Amino acid sequence: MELTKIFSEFVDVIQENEHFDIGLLDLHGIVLECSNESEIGTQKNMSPSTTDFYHDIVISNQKIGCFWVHSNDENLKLVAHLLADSLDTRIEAELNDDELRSNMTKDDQLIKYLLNEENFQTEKILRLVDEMQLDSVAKRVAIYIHWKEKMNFDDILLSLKIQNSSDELIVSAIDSKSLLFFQRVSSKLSDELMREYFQEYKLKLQQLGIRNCYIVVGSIQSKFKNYADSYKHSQWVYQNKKLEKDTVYFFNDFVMGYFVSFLDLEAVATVYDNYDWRDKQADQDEIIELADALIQVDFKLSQAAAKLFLHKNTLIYKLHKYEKIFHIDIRGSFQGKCTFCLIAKVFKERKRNKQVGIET
Amino acid sequence: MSIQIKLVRIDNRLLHSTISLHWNRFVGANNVLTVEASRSVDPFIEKVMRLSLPKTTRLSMLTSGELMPWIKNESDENDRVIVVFKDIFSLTLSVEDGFFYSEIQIPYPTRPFVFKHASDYFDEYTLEMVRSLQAKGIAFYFQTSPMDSKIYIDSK
Repeated sequence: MELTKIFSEFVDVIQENEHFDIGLLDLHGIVLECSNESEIGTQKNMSPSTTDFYHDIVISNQKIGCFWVHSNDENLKLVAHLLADSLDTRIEAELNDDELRSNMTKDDQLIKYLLNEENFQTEKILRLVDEMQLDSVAKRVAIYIHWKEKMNFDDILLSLKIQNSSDELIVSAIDSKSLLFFQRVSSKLSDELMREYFQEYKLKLQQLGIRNCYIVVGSIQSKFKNYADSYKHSQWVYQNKKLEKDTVYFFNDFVMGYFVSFLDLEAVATVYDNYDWRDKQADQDEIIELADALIQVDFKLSQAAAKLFLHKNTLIYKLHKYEKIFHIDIRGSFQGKCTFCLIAKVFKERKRNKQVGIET
Repeated sequence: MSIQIKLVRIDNRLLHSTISLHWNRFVGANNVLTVEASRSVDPFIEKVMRLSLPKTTRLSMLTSGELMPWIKNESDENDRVIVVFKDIFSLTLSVEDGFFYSEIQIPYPTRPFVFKHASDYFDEYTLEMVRSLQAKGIAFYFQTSPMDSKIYIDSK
């Protein structure tokens, strides 16, 4: 907290009025700063009078000096009290902000340690956790919030820290466009309640100015060493799914896709490329479209047909064609369904690679 | 998108530490409007009062008649605003001018206070204005700082 910086704002205002002078005095009454420079270095007796007003400056219960107002104006008392109140308020506000910033620095540090998986510094993390008085067994979830444009997060971060203890919310700006939260959640929340909770959460964030952004909730974790995973899960959704702004997305809704992303698709291609599907006029785009629609409706044929604007029988006909080409039972067996989706994924990947110029 | 009004409060002290220290940061406001029926503060005093807010928070000291024009012409979607009315009368004038906010905060009295009925707190003249505003869908509640509980004022 820079008292002289605050005081200089007061001086700028007072100098517009020739009837008043203000000064900062040390404990002995020596004028350290003053709107009237000729007074600097002089000593005041610090006894109130009709022309002089003195107000103790107290920080953390300790008197550090005195605020002095001098005027021959009849409004001295009114103006001096207003100035003193304003000064006290500003000092307290700055001290509060300093404390919040210090808490924010610890949040930044902790998140930095937590995300550093290669060099996971358990001792430093535990020391910080202790200092910040965090419940080390509480469940928390990563919330990744991203804007397309650069942001100034100062006010948002301060407001978040005012409203939430670090135990509730650990927050950091991980770059100029992204915030990362580790929000404490109740382990008793069902899936449905969790969604309701985060819809309300989103509204609270919007009230703080967190809007026009993408919001993804990662997986719930209870161990600090897995917090980075929660963050990675939220990142995966952001990078792999088409998202809309100001809508909360949950990693839990994309878990299967996440697991499938780890599969070696070449292994799938090695098997099914030998089925002469090109000769048998398998349409890659159609396979992708069919698989995407079926996945979205849990393979309910009527709903998939409606999604694709096809008659149900037409859909069945198409699936039957691909069952014969690839020797899989798409409609009847779980294995067939999965295999069909994997084949579609191979084609999707090849299409994407072709679009970006990667030879396959 | 219109401005975001975060808090509307009646407070005869207008701008003071509860607003600057507590509510300002708690609601993430970047703008404070004080509203009186007529301008009673001289420009120098206005500037002194502004000093209680950090430079990053704008302050506009308006009359009741200036509030709606300010909202229409001077604000934008990035403004997150606290509006402080000096009294019920200045709020009534602004509501007649088109201002609306569904919940208005009144600080708890400093004296020991057991609230039972609106007539315990408001004089007859003010109570009439309160009832008229309540009939328009505006609720009033007691709360001083963000950590206090809210007590809503009855509407009958």
